[in-house]
Amino acid sequence: MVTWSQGAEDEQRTEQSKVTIRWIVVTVALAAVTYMRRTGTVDTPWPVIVALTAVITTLNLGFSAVLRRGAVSPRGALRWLRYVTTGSDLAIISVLVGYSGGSASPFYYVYFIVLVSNAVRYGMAMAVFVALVYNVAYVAVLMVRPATDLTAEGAKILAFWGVALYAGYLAARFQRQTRILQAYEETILSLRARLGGREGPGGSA
Amino acid sequence: MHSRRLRSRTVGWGLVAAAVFVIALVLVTWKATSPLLFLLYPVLVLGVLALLAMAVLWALKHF
Repeated sequence: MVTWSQGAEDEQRTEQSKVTIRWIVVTVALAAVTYMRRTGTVDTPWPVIVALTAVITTLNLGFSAVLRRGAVSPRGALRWLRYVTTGSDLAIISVLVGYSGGSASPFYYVYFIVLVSNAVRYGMAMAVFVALVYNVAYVAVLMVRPATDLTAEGAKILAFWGVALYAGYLAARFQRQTRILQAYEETILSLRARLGGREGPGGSA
Repeated sequence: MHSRRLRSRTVGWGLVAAAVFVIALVLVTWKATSPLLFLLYPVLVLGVLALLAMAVLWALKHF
């Protein structure tokens, strides 16, 4: 059986790995946007690139500090932090997409990295949360940078919902199988302990 | 028995609502004049899923 402190430790480890992966993704994405800005592929203003770098660095250092302090409540187990980090990731990606061509941005696919990585870690609830925030954020992007073909944009949003629900379903199935395996392991351990007790010096067998 | 019949009627209306939601999804995608209309997607997608889940669970006699 998973205890609350075990759950908190798992959550802390998962969020810590998200911080590491965020450093890698951010470095690659910002190197790409800088290169594309220099070659003229995107028209993202330099102040926006610098501001995004500063915001992401500050947020990531902040998340690291929260995790180091171990903001773990006996029941909550950092549950709130996963939504804050994911929401901030999606907001930053939306700013990047908005300033690098809107619906035609080459960074649109970064949304899927956030979706899949979080859905696999946290399951259906997180997949629906990511799809909801993406839906609202992408509508905001389309309001700022209007697209020529709204039907195609609607289909893109629906496709994202499809991927989110499918990823959430697969993650839920995987989590269920993991729980079943864990129950089997516990049963085997308890049976071995009982068998060991019977075969011991005071046992009847 | 009576409550079972009542539930089947509820499920029937749920399926009608799900079909209406699907038609609304198609219409919003096809005829959207403003991106703001895409904000209806979460309600429509989750609504369709919830109503279909209700129908499937009822058919499997979960409730």
